[in-house]
Amino acid sequence: MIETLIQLLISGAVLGSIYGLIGVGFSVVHTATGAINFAQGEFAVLGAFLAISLTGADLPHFFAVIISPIVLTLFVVLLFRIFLTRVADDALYLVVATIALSLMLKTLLLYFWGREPIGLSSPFQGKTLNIAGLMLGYDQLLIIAGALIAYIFLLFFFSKHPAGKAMKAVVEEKEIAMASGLNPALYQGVAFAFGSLLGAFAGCLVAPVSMLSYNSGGLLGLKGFASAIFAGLDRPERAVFGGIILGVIESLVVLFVPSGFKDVVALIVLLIVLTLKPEGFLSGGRKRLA
Amino acid sequence: MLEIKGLNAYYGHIKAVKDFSLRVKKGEIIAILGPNGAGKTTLIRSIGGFSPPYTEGEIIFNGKNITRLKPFERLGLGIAVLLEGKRVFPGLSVADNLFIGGYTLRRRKKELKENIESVLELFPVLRERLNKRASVLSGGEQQMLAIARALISSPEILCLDEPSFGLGPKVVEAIFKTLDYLRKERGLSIVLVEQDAALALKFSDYSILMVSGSKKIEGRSKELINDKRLLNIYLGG
Repeated sequence: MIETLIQLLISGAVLGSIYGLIGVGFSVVHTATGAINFAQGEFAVLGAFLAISLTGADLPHFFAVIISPIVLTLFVVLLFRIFLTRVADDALYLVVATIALSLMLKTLLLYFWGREPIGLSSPFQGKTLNIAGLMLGYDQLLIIAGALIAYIFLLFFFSKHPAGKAMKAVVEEKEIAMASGLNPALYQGVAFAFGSLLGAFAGCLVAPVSMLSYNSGGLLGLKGFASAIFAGLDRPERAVFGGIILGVIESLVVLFVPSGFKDVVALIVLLIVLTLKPEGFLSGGRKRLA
Repeated sequence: MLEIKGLNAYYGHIKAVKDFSLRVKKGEIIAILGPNGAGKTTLIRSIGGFSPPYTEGEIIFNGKNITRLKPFERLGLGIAVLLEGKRVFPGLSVADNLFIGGYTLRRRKKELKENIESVLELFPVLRERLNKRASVLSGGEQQMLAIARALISSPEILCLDEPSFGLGPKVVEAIFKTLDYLRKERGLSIVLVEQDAALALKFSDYSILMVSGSKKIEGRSKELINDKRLLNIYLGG
């Protein structure tokens, strides 16, 4: 029983790391724009599908996983420059624009990759590590490592790096930031680039362990969003832990209810957080929702 | 240094500033006075490059037409603006607030460090609060931080909207003494919007009284102190 419990905890942490990475994307965009990017889940799926196509074109797995997020990020920066810069100053308009972007990306995914779920073949497939009788796949380890690297990087970025401080300044008081010489549009674009990079990276990490289809972005996005809300949107790096906690809860729930109900957990967590502590359970205490 | 020519500023169909012209020389302090709704804040926002969405006329700074430049571009040229009611980045530390004020100098580390040191000498209380969140500072300390942040980029002109608003008399006196020092020692020009007419007249070289977006009275501040028309307008006479 204990072994099963630990195995569930680990698989929850693995899935939760993915939610966390996607959640970080939500928080980063919110930090710079005050808006929620509803295309974040689609960024993850598009990143995964690009990597699948690249490996299909005989590119080594490692390169595909690196190149795909970069290509997607460039694509998103272009989209931001063309469509979103003009509405980026108004969080409500930006939210509406990202909903449109989400639908557009979903259509593109359906058009180019079809309806059938697909997965990314990984050189680590089937390779496991036995730790005291517990089996942990290399791909699962990579997911957890990826989330932790993102956490450390973001912690450094927002507390130490000038651009991170500038991004925080822009969302806290946009006019003072402008009066201090900051160009908000630049940091809003950087935030979208960051969000798409992390989303695509998450997609590339999850695709070897879970098949994805063109509409998987909705569920991934919802869970990422719940992770970000759980952690608090003002602390992007903490969304990683929000995701891990959500993943573990989701994983343990199957002990008590049929596994079909698992996906409802994110919604329930979302409602509980918004009711009891809208600023998030891991936040610095400032309430800031779009 | 700064010249405004025939400025009109609109909010939709409402003309908030009407045909306003002004010249500010180096080291000069200009006070903009007037009752609520006179267009003072709109004027400061226009100088800073912030909304209103539509303006006519020209703003020239050191010979360059800056009318269509964005706020962050104007700061780069030497125009610092402190907007009404917005003082600090509340979630950032005092040190980070100052750093953001000098963000454009971030690659010139020595200069940035010297400038931060220089503003900390002007406002020593901030040195003791460097690691505190700006949100926990008192109103007076926040205003000092706001002015300090604006000074880090070494502007040539500082535009202040209601710097005394909500502050105690001692804090206001300390802030105005510092501004006076900056004008005398560093040649900083100041455009000051102030509800406290007596304070503004005492402190400034030249004053302009605005009513309903237009200039109503203007002249040397020393002469306007005893001008009864000013009192009448303030008291609605």
